[in-house]
Amino acid sequence: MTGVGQRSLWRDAASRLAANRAAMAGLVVVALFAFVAIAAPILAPYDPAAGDTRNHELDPFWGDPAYRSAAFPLGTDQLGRDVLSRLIWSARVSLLIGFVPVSIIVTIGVAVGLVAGYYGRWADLLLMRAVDVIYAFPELLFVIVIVTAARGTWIGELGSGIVLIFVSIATVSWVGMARLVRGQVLALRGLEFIDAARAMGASDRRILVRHVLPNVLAPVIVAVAFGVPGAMLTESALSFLGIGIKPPTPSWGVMINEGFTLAIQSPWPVLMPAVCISVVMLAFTFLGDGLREALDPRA
Amino acid sequence: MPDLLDVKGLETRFFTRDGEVHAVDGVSFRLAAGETLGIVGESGCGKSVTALSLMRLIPYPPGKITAGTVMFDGQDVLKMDDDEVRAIRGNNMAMIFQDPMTSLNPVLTISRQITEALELHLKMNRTDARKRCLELLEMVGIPSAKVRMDDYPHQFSGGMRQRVMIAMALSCNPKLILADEPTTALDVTIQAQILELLKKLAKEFGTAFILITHDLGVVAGMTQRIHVMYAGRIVEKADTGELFANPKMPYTWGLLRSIPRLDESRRAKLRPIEGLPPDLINLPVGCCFAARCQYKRDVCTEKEPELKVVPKAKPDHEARCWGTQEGGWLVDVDYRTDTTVMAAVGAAS
Amino acid sequence: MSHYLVRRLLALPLTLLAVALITFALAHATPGGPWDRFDEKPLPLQAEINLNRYYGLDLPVHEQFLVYIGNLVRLDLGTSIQKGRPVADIIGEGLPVTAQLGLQSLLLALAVAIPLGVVSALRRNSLADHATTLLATVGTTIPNFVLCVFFILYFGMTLRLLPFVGWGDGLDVRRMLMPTVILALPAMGFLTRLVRSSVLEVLRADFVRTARAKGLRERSVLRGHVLKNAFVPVLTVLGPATANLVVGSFIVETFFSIPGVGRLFIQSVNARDYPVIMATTLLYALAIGVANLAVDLAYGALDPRVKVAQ
Repeated sequence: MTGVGQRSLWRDAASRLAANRAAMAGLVVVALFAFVAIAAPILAPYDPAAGDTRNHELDPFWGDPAYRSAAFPLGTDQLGRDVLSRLIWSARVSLLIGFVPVSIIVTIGVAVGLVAGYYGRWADLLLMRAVDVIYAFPELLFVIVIVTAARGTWIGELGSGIVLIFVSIATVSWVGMARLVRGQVLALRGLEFIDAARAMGASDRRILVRHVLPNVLAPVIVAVAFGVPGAMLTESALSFLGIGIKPPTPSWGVMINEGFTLAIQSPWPVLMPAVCISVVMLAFTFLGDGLREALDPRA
Repeated sequence: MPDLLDVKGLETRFFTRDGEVHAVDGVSFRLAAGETLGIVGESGCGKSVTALSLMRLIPYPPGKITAGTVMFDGQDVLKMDDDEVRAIRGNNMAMIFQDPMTSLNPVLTISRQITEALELHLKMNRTDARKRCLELLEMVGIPSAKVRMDDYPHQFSGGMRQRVMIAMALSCNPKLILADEPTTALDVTIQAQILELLKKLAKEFGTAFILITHDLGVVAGMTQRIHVMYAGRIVEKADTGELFANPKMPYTWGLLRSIPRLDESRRAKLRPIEGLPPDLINLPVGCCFAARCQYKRDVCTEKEPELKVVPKAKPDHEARCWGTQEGGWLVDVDYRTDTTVMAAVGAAS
Repeated sequence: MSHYLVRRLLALPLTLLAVALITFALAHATPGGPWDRFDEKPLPLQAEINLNRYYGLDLPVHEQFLVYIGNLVRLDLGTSIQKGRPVADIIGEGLPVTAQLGLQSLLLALAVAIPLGVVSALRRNSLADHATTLLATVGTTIPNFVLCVFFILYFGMTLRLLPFVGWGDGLDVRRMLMPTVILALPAMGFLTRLVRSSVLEVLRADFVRTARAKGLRERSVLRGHVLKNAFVPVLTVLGPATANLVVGSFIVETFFSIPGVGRLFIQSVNARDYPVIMATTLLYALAIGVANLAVDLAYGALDPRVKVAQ
């Protein structure tokens, strides 16, 4: 399954993905989003946390001429902070939230899933009990409970609360990944090429790394494509509810939370982060759907 | 007696992204009432598509019947409107499918799946339909049918399910049954029972049937005539006995050589046909079997032979081969004793 | 009733116990208590001791847990620290509102998704199908709180078409419209896509060809052979769908100031009002457990193969 067959499988998948226009559009938006997030310090014209109340609630450039300023193209919020700069820095928070916990989830989840699926026994038993409990209620609820408990501690203070969000998401979500990998490994274990490799004297480690891992990669990639926006969504929901990123650090959820009470007078500081979240979420969904179709042509 | 079925120039194509697949390409044959016919060929030769075309069950898109006539009981099935076709399906013409595991609806009881057609075509009420259903199930040999008729398909074994399929096909007393590989998915020991049942009941009911299979051994004792299909066309037609005794097409020879025989010495090797059937999107010029034929000559790759009555055979024996036709180079060759082939095979191995 | 269901029924209290244990441990393993205020003066020490004694917070943690479980069995959920009233009373007020909101959202989602998904599958690759799939994708993807922003800003504030504060008496259709639709949209999108793919899958099945070969009308094939099979996967996601509705209710109730359990939960989280957090969390686990159980029961009725497997 490795070697030529595997390589052409990936090449086929790549060409299928490239032919999917929605997925490609999604990829472009995701790339743009990542670029903005990484280049935030260069792109943002102002400090996102500092404002001048003399310039508060300015309209964006298409707004009322009496209440806009060329210096703030997307206007300012109620504290006079530049909305554009805050949007740009929020992208950075979202990117971090999207990738850091998911990296942890993949590392732990794949390792545990491989071991549980391949060796079974107590590792499997333990994993499945964890699955039972975690699946007893929704992930966000679990995350909220953990965040609530730890918010007052030193960990809640790290990076304006971002580290606690990493930890909470990872604590809850690795189980789903491990379960996915376990299922794949169980299905693979019964196939002949694994027996063949074992018959040729390959060690367990070699079988896992060379034969099993490449074959569980496709579903893991799809899970990541949906896990990244999922984590970003969790963060913005937490921040909107007031238990996520601590102000004045900007995040799209924080911006919606802070701006919502004043939405009647100035809707733009709320609408713009809402649009940003929608566009990025849609982009990830189209990309994820495309990846799933490309990697699993049967579906 | 007029023919029950008269198929002329049937042509079915599938319009795929890679191109037009010529699945059935000019198939013509006739069948009298009560007659039994075997259609034999490798998978992908168009035999199943032929059967589905007769019932107009080709999924569109991508498939479409592009030419031909199918006269059934004096009417052209291909010219009927949807209601007329539905009135025939399951009523005058019924079909038995290959995989009894997937061909029955898992969430409906066996009885419901049989009574459905009875209520529809014979206008029976629920009670009469159930009575008839019970008779049918007993007839096909379902033990304690009275109890089992309200079970679900998953509670039956493969062989029992295929018996149910036969009961379903016979339910409205059709004039023609199309059996598409009815035993391929079953255990060898069950296969013979199912075939025997089909043959016996068809005889009792006076039903004509077409048995479609990739296995010449299966049709041997089953049907009066055999048509061999290759690459979407019929390449040989003959009475069953004649075909086995005196085949006139190298493809048929290949099929016969690949059947294990009890009456041959153990040293005689089974010889599969080398190569693969042609690409049905880009058909070759000339005879479509030429690429795999050990006897081919230049003419075979230049012009396609017609299906013609062949010399040194019974009068209704036709073959599509330049070699065995009048004046061909294979007219006197007996494939069983033909040393040139043996030598060729020996050299190859 | 089969062994499987009995086992599931017995497992439910155990799951609830595990959930209670985890929530309780998290609440008590971390420093800081309900009396901590970031912005106010700290309480006098004696007052804190008295309060702790009143709420039983002076006992060792494992005893607190046992006391809690003991009370729980007697349906005594304790007293809200924030509101000073019995938790059971507070939840009793919010539960009917949340249950109504969740139920009517689920029904709305199903009522739209099933016909839309079926028609979309039957007209596969038509313009209507592509439009439906796109809308369904958008519906599932846009998060609840973003939908709330758009809906409230547009229908509530700009057009002044619909009220967007409170719930009323549960009969006020105009007031309930926005929260119900917003809560239903993600499930609607997801279910539409699921019904579509499920129907397409069943349409390809051999037994559908058998049904057509019997001469059934296309409508009878659809009604008698396709739909029942296609609904099996739809049923299996109703458990997770309930869980998603729970999460959605936090957001929607908070946005629309609806006095339900979801808003109560978020308020108690912000105030670290643990008796309420515990009770709502357990309530959610119970609701989801019961939903899953109901799905299993219905599953057996819809798919005869399941009974044997169990």
